Amino acid sequence: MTTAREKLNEDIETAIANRQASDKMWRAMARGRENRMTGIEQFQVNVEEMKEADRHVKVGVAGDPALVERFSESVRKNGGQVYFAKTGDDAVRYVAELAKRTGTNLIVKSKSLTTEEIEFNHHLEKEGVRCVETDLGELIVQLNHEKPVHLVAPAAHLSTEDIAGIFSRELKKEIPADPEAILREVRPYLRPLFLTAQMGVTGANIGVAETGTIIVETNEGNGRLVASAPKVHVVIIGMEKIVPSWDDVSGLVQAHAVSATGQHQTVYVSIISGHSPLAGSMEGREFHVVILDNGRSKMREDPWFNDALNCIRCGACMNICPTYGIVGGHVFGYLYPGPIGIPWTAGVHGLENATFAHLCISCGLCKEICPVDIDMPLMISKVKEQEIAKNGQPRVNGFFTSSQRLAKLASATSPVSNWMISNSASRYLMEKTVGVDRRRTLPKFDRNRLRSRLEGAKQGSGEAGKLVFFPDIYADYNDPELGYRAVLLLRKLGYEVIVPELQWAGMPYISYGEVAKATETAVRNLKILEPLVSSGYGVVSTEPTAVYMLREIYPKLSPGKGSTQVAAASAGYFATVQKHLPKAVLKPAFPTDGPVGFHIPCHERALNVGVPAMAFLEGAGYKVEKVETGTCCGMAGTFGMKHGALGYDLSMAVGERLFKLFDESGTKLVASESSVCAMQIGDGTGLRVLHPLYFVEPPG
Amino acid sequence: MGESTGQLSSSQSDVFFMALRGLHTEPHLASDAKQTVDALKEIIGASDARSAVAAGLPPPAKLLVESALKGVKHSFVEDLKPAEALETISKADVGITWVQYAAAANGALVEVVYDDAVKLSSCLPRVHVALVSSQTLLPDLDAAIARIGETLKSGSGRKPVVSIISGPSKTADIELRLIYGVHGPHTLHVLLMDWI
Ligand code: SF4
Ligand code: SF4
Repeated sequence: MTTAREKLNEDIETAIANRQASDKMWRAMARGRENRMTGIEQFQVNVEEMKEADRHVKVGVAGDPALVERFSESVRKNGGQVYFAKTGDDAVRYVAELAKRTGTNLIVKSKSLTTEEIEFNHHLEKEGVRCVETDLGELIVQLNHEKPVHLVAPAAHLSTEDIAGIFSRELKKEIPADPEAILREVRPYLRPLFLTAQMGVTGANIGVAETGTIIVETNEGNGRLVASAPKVHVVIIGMEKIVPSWDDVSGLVQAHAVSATGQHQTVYVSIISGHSPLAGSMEGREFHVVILDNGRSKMREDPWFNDALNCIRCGACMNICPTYGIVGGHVFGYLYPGPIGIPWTAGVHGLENATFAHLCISCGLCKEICPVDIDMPLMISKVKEQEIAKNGQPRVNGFFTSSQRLAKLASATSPVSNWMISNSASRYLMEKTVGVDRRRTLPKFDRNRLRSRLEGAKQGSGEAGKLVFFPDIYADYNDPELGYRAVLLLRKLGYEVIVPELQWAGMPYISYGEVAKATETAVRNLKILEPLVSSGYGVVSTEPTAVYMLREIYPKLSPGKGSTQVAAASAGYFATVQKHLPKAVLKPAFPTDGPVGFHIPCHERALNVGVPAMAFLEGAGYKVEKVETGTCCGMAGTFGMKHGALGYDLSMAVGERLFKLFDESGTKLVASESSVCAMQIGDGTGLRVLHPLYFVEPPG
Repeated sequence: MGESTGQLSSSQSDVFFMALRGLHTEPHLASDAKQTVDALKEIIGASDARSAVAAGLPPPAKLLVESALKGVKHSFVEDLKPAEALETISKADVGITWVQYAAAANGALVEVVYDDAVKLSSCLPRVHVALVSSQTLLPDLDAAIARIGETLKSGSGRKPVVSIISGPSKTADIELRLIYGVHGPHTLHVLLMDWI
């Protein structure tokens, strides 16, 4: 029997090989990101304020049993009937009995991921009740016997041709591959179903405890029809969707629309507090609200996962996830797809269905784009940890989580280690034994580490302040020259700079689900950094990932005043240098006539979006051209070094889209702050990729 | 949170109209009874409508609509029997309804109904004509949602069903590209009356 991991690998291989399908998915996701950005610009949304407001509404509240109770009371007061379903089966059973009692043999549904979660249609059809999806995307996947590929765009993986084919088959007539023509057929196909269904089932975007109201947002208008034409209206709402008061509504309605589709508000926002009469008659008209737990209470109690309950299901995290963009939500998902699908699957469908967690390459972009600032990467790491505890750590991941030890060894044994890294026979062996892909160019090691290189170098005056330089592995073991130049420039700018012996930042522990080791490393580094920060030191690193760890991850791994202070005192290298740019004399090391291509590493996106480094290059006289797909380059630390589908192959599939843009840009030289992004772009384009510091003459 | 002053500043209607156009919605302005009827006639003519339903109209508006619909098969949904309501509304080409208030900056119309037949009149026909009095314009969505909250929190008895409508029915489910007119109206006209 194939294991879940083997199956995942096979699915990834198939997905990568189907270039047409991955192109479709990739383009659709790029469009999703563009739509969101356009909306943010048009409506001048302050994203950070929005995140804060959303967290203010949701955090601590989502899934609160007392709130569920208040909401239930309000619904009952309005005349509705409430059923609390502990499990999906309970929910389905309730609706099936209701269908029997009301003589229902046809249900129309508006889009509801919550009903997908409990496989509602499947169960009701077993009871002889036909269920018809009325959201166009949901209908398409229903007719194609598939699961939704995306929370917001269920059929994002299909082209117009595919969709025309699906309807041609269903309607037994030739429908041209033209979206308008398809719509002309869909309307008359569904209309009689809306009018004859005895029951309409909707989900809910929000439940308001204060007024006993549910809010359903749709662009197509199907939600309005489902909620009003049939006699019986059933709402299936996850308990986490309930908010306390009416004041919470406006912000959520707007955040949802902006993040999902770049609209200010969804076309139809239905605000329902019960069933109304139809043409004066209440005969047979009933309103039921089924509140679903199905694992949510358990998630709420788990400090690692309760933040996932704050998700407003906007789908933005899947739009930006690089590996999701290649393989799509059928591979990157169970019933819930995409980044947020990982903790949700683990929470409601069980760890055994969440193996796709390994598709996460810890780029952090999902957290960045999320309107509720949910830290999915960290949760995913925890899911991986649990999966590994059951099924073991893959050998190659274990190899890379020992990078620090290996780096020490390789640096001590260079140039022998370097010969091994570049020798094809030994690379073949490395691939076979530990799983490091032999096609990947690996960084060389230097015998002379940063601290010894700095011996005797002039200290800065301290006028500008005091800094700890955190080299992480690369600027210490691989390229101490970079660390050396970085420290010297800072000293020249008036900083007193020290390089205490620290552990590496430890990102691979997060990437490969070794949360306990990540925490141990964080604690050890913080032990050294905390007293320094308390006595006035700031912390800088040339590696954006190291800064990201200090600022974003350490405070979560080791919460407390110390880690918060260290986070606040940590900054990117160029963000620090930028303050002194006007007086710094930067002599370009290369001709400045052609543009320099610039790549923003994912972890830098969360910090300063590459702006300070670009300013640095411009300060040296270069014309800088940002080249980006809007997502990750695919390398993701050591992920792209691993042999196989879940490594080099997927890494390159993601990277190819970026390499093409670099080819088209005509740039000859590329700058990137991340050592691993530089490897990826170098391998993929053949261009020379250097850290921005190498674009200026070494500080004399 | 701003309150409508009852006075229509030209800038507020400009803002409203601009927002409506941005939402693929066709705005019209009527400054007296005659203009209102003319505008309605023109919309109905241009829509190639053979039948219409009107719903939820206050008495003066009802008279005007009645005169604009002369020669077009029409019904007022309040007169329909429960058994025929769905079918009649669904067959109509145009639905004319009253909108209680609107959010100027966001082009959002707020429909407050106590009977689903009224709501379905803005859902089912392929053309929806929304009548709005300029007196009821609110500055933005925040204000409109706050007003909805007041309605829901006050009073006893059955609560209304409220819909915030921002443009015609649309979907991006085919390759994430926008197309208009799925289940609801293909076309949305807003007739702003600054004389009622
Ligand atoms: S961290 Fe990156 S790779 Fe992982 S789920 Fe989020 S977006 Fe996808
Ligand atoms: S996790 Fe965040 S970005 Fe993803 S769907 Fe939920 S709210 Fe949207």
